[in-house]
Amino acid sequence: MARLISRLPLVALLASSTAVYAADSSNLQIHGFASQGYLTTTGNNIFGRSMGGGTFELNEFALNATATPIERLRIGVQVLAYDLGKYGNDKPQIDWAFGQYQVPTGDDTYDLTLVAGRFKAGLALYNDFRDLDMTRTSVFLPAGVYSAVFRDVFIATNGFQANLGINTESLGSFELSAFVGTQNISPDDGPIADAFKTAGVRELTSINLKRSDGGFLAWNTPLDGLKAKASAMHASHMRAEGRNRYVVGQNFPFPVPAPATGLVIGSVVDLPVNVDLIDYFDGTVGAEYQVGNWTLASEYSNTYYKAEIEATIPDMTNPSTTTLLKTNSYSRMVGAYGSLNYQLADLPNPLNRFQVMGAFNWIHDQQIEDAAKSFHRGAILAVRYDVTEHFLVKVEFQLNRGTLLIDSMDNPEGESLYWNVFALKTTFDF
Amino acid sequence: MGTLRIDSIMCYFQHLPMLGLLTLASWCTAADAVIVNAASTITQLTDDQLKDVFLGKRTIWEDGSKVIVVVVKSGPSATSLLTRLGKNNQQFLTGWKKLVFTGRGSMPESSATDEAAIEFVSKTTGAIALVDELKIKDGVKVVTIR
Repeated sequence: MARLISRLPLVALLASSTAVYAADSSNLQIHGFASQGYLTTTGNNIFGRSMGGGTFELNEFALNATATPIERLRIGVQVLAYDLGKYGNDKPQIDWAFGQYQVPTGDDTYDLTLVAGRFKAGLALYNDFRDLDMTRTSVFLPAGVYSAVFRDVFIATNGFQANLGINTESLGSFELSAFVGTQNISPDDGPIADAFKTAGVRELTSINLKRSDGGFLAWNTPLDGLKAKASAMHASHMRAEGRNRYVVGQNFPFPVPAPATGLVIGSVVDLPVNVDLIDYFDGTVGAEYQVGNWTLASEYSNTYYKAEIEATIPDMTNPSTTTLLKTNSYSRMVGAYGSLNYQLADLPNPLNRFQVMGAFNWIHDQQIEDAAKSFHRGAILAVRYDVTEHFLVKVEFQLNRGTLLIDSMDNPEGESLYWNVFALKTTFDF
Repeated sequence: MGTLRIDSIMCYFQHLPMLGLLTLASWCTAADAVIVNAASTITQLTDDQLKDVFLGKRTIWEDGSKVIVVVVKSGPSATSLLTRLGKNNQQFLTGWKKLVFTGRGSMPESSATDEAAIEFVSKTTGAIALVDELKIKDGVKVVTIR
């Protein structure tokens, strides 16, 4: 009879189902997903080249395996490849790989889990699900809080995490989490590499992050469906090293110490340079209210960083000596969004498998003086249709204003204040 | 007995547009029970604990054994479970996918019938299911929901 138990997830009222290849009945489970999308924009290129005929470089593929080898210990690994225009390029990487141990507390009121490895840190309401297209209606999470620029810092942490769950009779339940670790950040490609290139390290040779730490407090309130969450992350000393060519007096970011170094205004110098992101802090507060088929969500984030740019300049009159030059830069960004999602009742009727989501989001960099470059505002409308429990299609349209999130390297002919996004995506999971 | 009974009025308004009256009547008079393996030390759960279990937030029983959620795929027991959790099918499924694809949970077992779910629970330490009370047999015990 046990054979009648399948692992077809899951429930339900939808008659259609897809085979799930999972594992022996007690332990190992294997799951995966594949997404493919199409993206086109007007006004500005994003993630590389997206204007004109658009791009199909919008996909994710993942495969995971999890098991519980002994009581209270859970282990697992997920390999992910993604392509987001010029980022990712479908290079397989370890998305998460960790062991999680649930500590016996002897009290149902508390539970404590310890995690070691590479794990999703639980930042903000939806950061853990950035690459999980099947968990939302929209193609992209609202950029006001989930900008792709620092994706690699947020997406997972290599280190340790402790989670404490507290259940109360009258106040709902709380989850308190803290982590410490670091990240592996590729100097070859990715939004962080691009950010450092924009900051002045054109030929990157390495990016190293000394430490990141943070945590969250989540509250499942006594009101059914309402949860609130506050999270924060701090990264210290993310250091990029490489070289750059400067035209002295034009794009040279340092006070020119000539004539001591013999630098001539207008001359081109190729210098070893590094950027140290001394402090990076991101804090987010938000709430989600799910009532019936409606889900209302809103989040506010505050991001701050301080960077120090260093270049070693040889003394042109005495090459055996060098001068270390430094300059600092700061950024403080605030962003927010509000979204409303509606799911038609998902009963067997094929006409009842739609979801519609609308959102407004904005983000503002208070340190940038150029008005157009200092902000982003956008309206999002997305529609999703679930063909089966494991296969969906979705479409998204964005109306955007502002160029804060536009990479000037993708738009050498200039940036447009107004720009739109159209995206299609389909996802299969098992 | 500690069984979960569906409120007939709520049931009426929720399903009236989609269902015939005979089906409706059978849904609303069905008595459901949360069952675990007979050897389990679990005797009662709070409503919140029950939600945590069936939404994948609780993965280990206090005795250290793994929580194995069993879900009846369709019919009154499936509907009762969703009603009890305050979720529709899509929300329930998405919640589990979030756990599975971040490494925090394993998909529940899924059974075609109440009888199959009961059979599985009777043979599996740590298993829990919500089933039709009338179909319960030896090898499982009913958990009181406080």
